[in-house]
Amino acid sequence: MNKLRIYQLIHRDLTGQLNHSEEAELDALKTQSEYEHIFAELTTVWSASKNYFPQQKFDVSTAKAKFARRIATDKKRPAKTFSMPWLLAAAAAIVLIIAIGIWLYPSSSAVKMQILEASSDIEYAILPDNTEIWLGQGSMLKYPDLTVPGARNVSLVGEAYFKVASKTNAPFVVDLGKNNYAEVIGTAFNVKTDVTTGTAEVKVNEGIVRLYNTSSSRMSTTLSAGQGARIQAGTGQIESIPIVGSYSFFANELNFKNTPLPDVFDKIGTFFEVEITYDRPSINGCRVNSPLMDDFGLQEIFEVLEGLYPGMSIENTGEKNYTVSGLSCAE
Amino acid sequence: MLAESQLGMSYQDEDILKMLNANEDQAISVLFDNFYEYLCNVVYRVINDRDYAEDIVQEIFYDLWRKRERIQINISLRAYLRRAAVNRSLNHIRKQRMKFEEDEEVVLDLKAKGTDGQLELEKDELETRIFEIIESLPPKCRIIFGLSRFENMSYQEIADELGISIKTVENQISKALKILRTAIQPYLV
Repeated sequence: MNKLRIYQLIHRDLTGQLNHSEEAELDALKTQSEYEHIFAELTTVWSASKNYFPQQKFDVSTAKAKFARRIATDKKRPAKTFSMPWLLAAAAAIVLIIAIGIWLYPSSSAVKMQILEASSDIEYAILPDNTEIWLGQGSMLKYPDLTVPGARNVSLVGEAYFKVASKTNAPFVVDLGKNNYAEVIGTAFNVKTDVTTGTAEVKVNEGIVRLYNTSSSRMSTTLSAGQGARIQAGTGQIESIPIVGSYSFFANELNFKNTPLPDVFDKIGTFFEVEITYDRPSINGCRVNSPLMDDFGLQEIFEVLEGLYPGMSIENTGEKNYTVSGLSCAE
Repeated sequence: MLAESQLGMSYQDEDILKMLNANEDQAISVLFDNFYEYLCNVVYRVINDRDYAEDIVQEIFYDLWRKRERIQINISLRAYLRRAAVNRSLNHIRKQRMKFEEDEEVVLDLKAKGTDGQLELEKDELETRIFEIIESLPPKCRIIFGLSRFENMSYQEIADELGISIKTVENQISKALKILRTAIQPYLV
């Protein structure tokens, strides 16, 4: 028996990663006296290493001063709202975003509605209840006074990504038009409506969303993080849809979930307004799962991708042009 | 003027977040006083580099400051910041494009220290010896062992985060365990 194999099995055992065959393999080894001391010693090592934490000293005052210098120039920048450039014109072109409904407040037309519109850019805003919203180009959100107790009913025309502020007993309800609604407590999700088909799509990034229809069919479903669904107009028929790529093109989130590499390059190119040239057939089989990279610069992201795919090279071939080479992962 | 935390006052997470949301200068000072050294050590435990540790923690606080007026945190601030520190450490490792498959030279002082025949150690002494050995593990081996031991990451998670194979993860962890076991054997009588 290779000793490294024993280490591997014991470590898998200590960390709960043994599969059935490995469990049997380890059980068989445990009956052999020559390995007893190894089990005992590694268990001791593992147990005794648990509390390791460095005790390095760092100069907090110097660090504070450095930080103060850094933010001194940023202080005048407003933190409440800002606009972002249109991130994915190509996606917008194929998604017909047209108004499909106006929220009719149930009891009274006297409720004053605020309107948030995104004309040429994606608009980011924080609603009065601290819900964050990224509103897609050409989209409109209507919302009442969200600070008063009770349900928070808003209506969406177009596409938006919501990060809903959690408020117990105050569900956040998005009217999707055609008697379809998405109701949440506190979560992050993307909503897209399409007037030509009368459908609405919901993709849940965090938390839970209840998707339902108030017409005679009374269809409803509950979506958890990582799930998406499409709801039809009229019938309220609901079908699940896969989440490929990121949850939203709006939320300034350069994170990718099982995303084909060409799509990653397209999104990065649009985001940074550069042209990235690649041979789609030869890299279409690569899928990217990445951490959130929205704080990264272009070069840093390229470095991450080159790190993920050793051999791949991304060269600067012009002022705003990059060329990808050296990688082969055809589908 | 001394910060309140320096005067012995302690802040709850809620207080700090309220100060951040209200854009009070004091918030950053309190964050540094309460979490700076802790977070630097969190990063240091992953990447073993003091300078990078300080840079990374500066970035974490800067990010918090940028989002100060809208930040909402539903877990403890310490846990939130710790998670951010580990994530940024992993980002740093990825950006370094380390070759985890390559062998590293092991230069460890595996001799028992000052034992003079009394090799059996108390639990605390054994821990101290193990801590010394962890700190002197080869860098890549130490990183992977640490992600498993201290961040409770599975083989698959480590492999995904670092863009390496599960086999490489297994080999590096086994190597660390072998070194640690060898180092403490003189004490285990």
